[in-house]
Amino acid sequence: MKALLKLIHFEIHRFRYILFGLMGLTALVQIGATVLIAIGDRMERLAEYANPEVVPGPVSVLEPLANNRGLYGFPVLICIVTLLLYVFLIWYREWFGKSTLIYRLLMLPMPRRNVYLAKLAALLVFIGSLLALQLVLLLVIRAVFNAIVPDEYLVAASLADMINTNEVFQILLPLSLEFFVLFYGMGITCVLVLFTAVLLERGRRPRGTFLAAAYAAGMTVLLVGTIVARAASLHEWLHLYAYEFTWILAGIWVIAAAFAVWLGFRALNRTVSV
Amino acid sequence: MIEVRDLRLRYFRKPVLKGVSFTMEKGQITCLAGLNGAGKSTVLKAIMGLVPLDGGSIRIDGTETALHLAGNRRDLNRFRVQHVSYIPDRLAMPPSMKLWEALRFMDDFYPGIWNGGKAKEMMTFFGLGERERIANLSKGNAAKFNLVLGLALDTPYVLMDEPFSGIDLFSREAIAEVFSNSWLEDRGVLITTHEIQEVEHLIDKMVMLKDGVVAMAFDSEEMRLAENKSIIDVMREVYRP
Amino acid sequence: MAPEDWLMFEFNTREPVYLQVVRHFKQWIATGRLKAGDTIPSRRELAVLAKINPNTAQRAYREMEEQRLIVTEGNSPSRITGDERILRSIRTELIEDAVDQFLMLIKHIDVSTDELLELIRQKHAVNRSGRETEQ
Repeated sequence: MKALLKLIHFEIHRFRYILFGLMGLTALVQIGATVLIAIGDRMERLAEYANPEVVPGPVSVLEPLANNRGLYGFPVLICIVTLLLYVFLIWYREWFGKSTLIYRLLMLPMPRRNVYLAKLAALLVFIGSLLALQLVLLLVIRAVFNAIVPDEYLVAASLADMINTNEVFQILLPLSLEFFVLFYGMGITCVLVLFTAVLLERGRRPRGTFLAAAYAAGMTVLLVGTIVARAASLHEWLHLYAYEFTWILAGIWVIAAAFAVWLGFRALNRTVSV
Repeated sequence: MIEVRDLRLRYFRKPVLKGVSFTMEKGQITCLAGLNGAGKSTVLKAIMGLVPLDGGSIRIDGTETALHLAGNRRDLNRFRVQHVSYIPDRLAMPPSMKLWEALRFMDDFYPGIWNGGKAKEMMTFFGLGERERIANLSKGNAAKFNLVLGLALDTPYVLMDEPFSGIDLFSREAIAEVFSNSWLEDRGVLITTHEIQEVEHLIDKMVMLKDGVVAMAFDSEEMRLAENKSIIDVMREVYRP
Repeated sequence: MAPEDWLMFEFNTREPVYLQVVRHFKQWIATGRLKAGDTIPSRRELAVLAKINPNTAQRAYREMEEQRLIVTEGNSPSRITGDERILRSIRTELIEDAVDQFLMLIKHIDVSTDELLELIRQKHAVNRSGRETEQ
């Protein structure tokens, strides 16, 4: 267990600059945007003070969020794309580049599955910390907005409302436990499938490439198939209640995840090649 | 003893190893020779579990360790790492690390196997400064540090892949000294090298790969005694029909 | 002998290294660098000093023990034999080897024994006086 923790620390440590960069970017853009918009709003209201016929309306932080979804969502998208790339790079970097660290990782005095688990854990830590940051940022944005705009016009905004202004937030920070488990369960399963596909590909050529392609194709068909089946209301054709069908499909995803892990471990132990 | 039996490996359609068998003993320096692309590096990597084989057996002190035979065994990786130290032809450490960080990494991840005292001795012997960054090391110093990382692990067997490749004369001499001193004491060493002349007088046993199999294996002193032939003489005979 | 004196350079790769080590020892004995009863390094120590494979040192010591050049008593370090007969025979052996080599080199040259001996007498005298002025 201690060995695994050391490895997780190692994985997180080597990514820290990029992680801090992403956090900094997100904080900068979101807080910066809020400050600018709030100041703009404040200026307008002060200007309108002079005109007695115009009565400025109430406002909350929801307004800038809703009106600038692209701006607030942009750094989040960058984070998502970066992490998506890293799902691949976290493995491929060990083979390419000046140091071929894969030699070292495969020769550590611990079961090889620890390497898989450590990379997975690190990725989850990155995702988790960015999500936590986003939540904190929402609080900060609200505080900043409320501090700049004159109190008379402020309307309260709940965190939930703030999340609902933007589809990106709605997906990443789902308000219901069900959706949270569903989205992140599916997301993690996809990561596991990708991990395993990469490990299969890293077996000896040409078999490795072929196996990886076959596996990736197969899993894509299966998993996308479940989504299509659900969307197409296939449960009627199967004489099942909708919720029963959903559970079955969820079960397929769980099995897919377990299979991915098993196959990934097996690849590391038996077929991975330097 | 490391016993390698009937190793087979095909790369794409081309057979590289067609049944390689040999043994290496503790306390001896064995040299694996062969022309470029003969598969010497591959054999070493296979012993270390870094390249899967198509067939064959690799027994380390009696225990089977070939990936396709024992890959799922619980503690296989740790067993292998505790018994064999593999020194590849390149440094397997992040280039941004400083030498002292790399040493601490080894100390951290190899408890009970890493010998910090030996490492310090070797650093002094090679004249390597701990504050250097790995990326900034010269080729010669990188090779020396590579040896430190490999030899400071207290394992009964050591595999070295081209330890002299592309290094200046003085670094090569320093590395050759390693073969006579205490850091290799009582250990079984398997090296591959093109620079046979550098270590000819230090080798106990020669194993010559040709066409995917072991063409010849012999004790070097016995060859000299019985037939007055140097290792290079035998290589000329074997590799140029 | 100082540590660097134990270095042996330029091994002939066609002759067993351990026999060359033994020959080095014999030369050191014949030239007085090693004297009767001198302690010599352990096998391991010799390997490090001479930069040779420890197994080679091992074989060389075994050979020298068999030829009774060195003696090892229990756990004490090995020493050069004190037996005068053996020490003298080494000297003779080396001289004979040199003579054999010399004769083989001039085998095909037509020269009488007397001419050879006179040449040797002259050269040897020059050598000896040179050595005396060195000392």
